[in-house]
Amino acid sequence: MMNVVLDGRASATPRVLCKDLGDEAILLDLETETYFGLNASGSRLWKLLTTASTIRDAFKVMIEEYDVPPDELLRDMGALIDDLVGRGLLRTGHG
Amino acid sequence: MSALAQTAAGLLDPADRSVVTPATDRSPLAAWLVRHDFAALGFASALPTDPELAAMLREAAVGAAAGNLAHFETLDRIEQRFEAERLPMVLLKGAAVACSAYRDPSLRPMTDLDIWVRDDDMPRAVDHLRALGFRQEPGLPHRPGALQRRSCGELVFRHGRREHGLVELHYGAFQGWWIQRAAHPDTEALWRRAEPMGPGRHALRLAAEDAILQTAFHVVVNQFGQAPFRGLMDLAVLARAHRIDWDAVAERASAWRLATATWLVLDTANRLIGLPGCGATVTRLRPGPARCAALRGFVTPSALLSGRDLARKTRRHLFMLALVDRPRDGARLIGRTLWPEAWWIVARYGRPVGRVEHLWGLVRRGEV
Repeated sequence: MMNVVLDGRASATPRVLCKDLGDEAILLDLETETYFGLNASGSRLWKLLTTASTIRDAFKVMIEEYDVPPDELLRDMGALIDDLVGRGLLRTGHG
Repeated sequence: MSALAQTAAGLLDPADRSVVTPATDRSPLAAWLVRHDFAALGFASALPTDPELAAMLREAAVGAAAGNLAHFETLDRIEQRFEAERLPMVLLKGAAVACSAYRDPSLRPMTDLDIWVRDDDMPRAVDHLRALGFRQEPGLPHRPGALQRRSCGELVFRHGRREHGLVELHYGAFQGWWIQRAAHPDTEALWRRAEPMGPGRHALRLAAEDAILQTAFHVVVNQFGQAPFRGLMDLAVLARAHRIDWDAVAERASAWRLATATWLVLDTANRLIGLPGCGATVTRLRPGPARCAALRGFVTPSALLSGRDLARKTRRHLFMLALVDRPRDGARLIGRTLWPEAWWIVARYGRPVGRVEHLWGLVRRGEV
């Protein structure tokens, strides 16, 4: 994982709204009115990240639910978290 | 269409979840659904069984759902403010139907929020919207504010440069000069029957029967233009999501002199999508055979499905005239359009203008 601390906690910023759309989800940035589509795994990760106590807990659930090597999942999670943090939709910090 | 309505109302039989038979070419269907604002509904219907169609609708569906998120966030802010200021509000049209009838509000796309406040409360409502960062959009030159008020019209506000920050403050639920001249909805009864939008919500919504009448009127007063299928679908979803007292719908439509207009929309929605339980009401409201045939000739399912513009100038006036219930109301509609009251002249032009000059203006602009 790139800049993400596994024992840290992630939370949605106040400027973002999330809406389920079937298996998928959309995130709406209220400040810019831009929206982002999350596929099924992205949607699941968003839900876990914004409810779990730590990012590591979210990772543990994801690794149980998805048939993917841990390294690959960690890399993909890191990329998505970095992207969301960079866009101001998610913030991370120590739990 | 019926399957879409069932999906919207959360009633679709799991055994019949597909909106399209496998043999159907999906591309034109997807394009039609997007053009008529059914991308989100089509996406939700197709997702379980037709991934190909769902994939075609996905982008538009996501956009519509995102737009609704923004609209409802705006609504939350307005509701909080109006509640704190004890300012009653009735939510009309899209947002009201989306919340009260659709199983998921994101399935019903919206372009704005329509909020009805009492006439006495309008100045306060305007002030509070401004305090929330909204600015009033300039009105059309031929529809100045004074005229909007008398015709139960609306004031339009926008929040900054936000695409989804459009709010219309309405003076009434049934707007425009056609209804002011030719019909008579009971405004006080609408307020009296209005119901809370839901737990913890400040906004009210029209009672289901009144919402049926208001939606039907909105479709007809726009001559089945401006996304007519959205209105027809709203009626179909309202009919499925609520226990509609169709006798009350018929009684109010007749008492308000909206029988013909209501009949035409309910009949069209019933033939195209199906309105469970409305058969006797449609029969009761149906005008005489000649008018029935003329109006059905104007609003044909094929014209609606092809998206043809039904509201060309001369046809539009004849159409609206044919919808008037009583001949004497039709005579008043024509008379007052050509020769309006003195107060109307002042409200329209901002100064006393001769009626001949007004008449000449109508002729010049091609409105006669």
